Amino acid sequence: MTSSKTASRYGTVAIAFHWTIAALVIANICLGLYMADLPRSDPNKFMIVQTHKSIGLTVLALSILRLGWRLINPAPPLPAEMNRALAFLARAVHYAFYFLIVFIPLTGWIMASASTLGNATQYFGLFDWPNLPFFQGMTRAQIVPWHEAFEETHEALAWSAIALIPLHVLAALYHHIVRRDDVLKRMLPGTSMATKP
Amino acid sequence: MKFAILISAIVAGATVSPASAAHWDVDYAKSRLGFTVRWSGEPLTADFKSWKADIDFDAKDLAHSKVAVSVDLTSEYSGLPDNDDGIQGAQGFQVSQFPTAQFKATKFTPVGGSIYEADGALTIRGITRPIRLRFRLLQSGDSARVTGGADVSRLDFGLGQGEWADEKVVAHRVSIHLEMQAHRRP
Repeated sequence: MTSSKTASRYGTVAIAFHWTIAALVIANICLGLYMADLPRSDPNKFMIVQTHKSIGLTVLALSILRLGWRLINPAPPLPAEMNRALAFLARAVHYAFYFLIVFIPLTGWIMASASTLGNATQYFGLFDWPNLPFFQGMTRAQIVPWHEAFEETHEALAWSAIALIPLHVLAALYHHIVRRDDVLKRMLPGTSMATKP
Repeated sequence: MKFAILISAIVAGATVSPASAAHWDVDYAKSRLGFTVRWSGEPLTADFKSWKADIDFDAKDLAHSKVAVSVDLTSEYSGLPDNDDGIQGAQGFQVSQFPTAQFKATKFTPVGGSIYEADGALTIRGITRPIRLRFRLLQSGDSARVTGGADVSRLDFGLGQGEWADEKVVAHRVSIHLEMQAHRRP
């Protein structure tokens, strides 16, 4: 059983979800920060925004699958000797990430759906991704406040991810370098041989 | 002989030299230039916050009247940042490459009352097309009020390419409107 976890480590599927979503989220945070400051005269702005939306929607789809997988396959326990406050903090950060990887792209999708542009989101130029239906038939004056509210929510959630990612990375390094336990290793794809049954 | 040449030169100069119509200075604080287009089925109105008009106009001497307008397209403002991104972006005005639009008119026709038509050339995105601006001129002494407009097809100027070309997203017909207060230069 290589696709699921063993008692002490994450399974291959969970590891693949983790690193794929991590890479896409970090790429999209960079893209989001970059495009927010682009002048509208930049000839690539529109294409960059469409790419940001496409990556975000990919994160949303993968995250929903990941949460489903996570419900069926519980995460391995933290080291028993860990301080209870730290263990609580670690779990809280993990749950915060589960929340953020769904709600950052979801609020992005909502703000894109509450758009005064009327054009479609093009998923990597392959097909038109549908807008959420709530805003159809609304006038521009009705749509704008929704767009602004969800834009602010989207940004606030993204900033909380920006704050939590370094904490998560530092914690993993703390486990690996200071505590010398296997908390980081059990999420690394290359080290699976050592503990696999 | 020299005298005769001098006389003929003066006469020739007098007949050739263009009689220029009165010059008008625009009061931009009391003037407005913009456009309206149906976007997602609803009219969207945008203004140009920065433009310059060079006006020589005399209702009694239309033959020597001329107007040249230069519009800073980066000053386009609808109050909707995303729409302004699209309007000024690569598939719209493409202001990075074509930051200004020009309108030049030298032919003015009275069409009754205080209404005139100016036939001129509008240049956007490097594409020049003839357009007809219809306007009402209300003049009192040295000040004048002009209200007018012109309908253009945005596709004639390559405005709204790619997915924006669809009439259902953004209508093809764009109404340009002008309200202008001007004062005759003494």
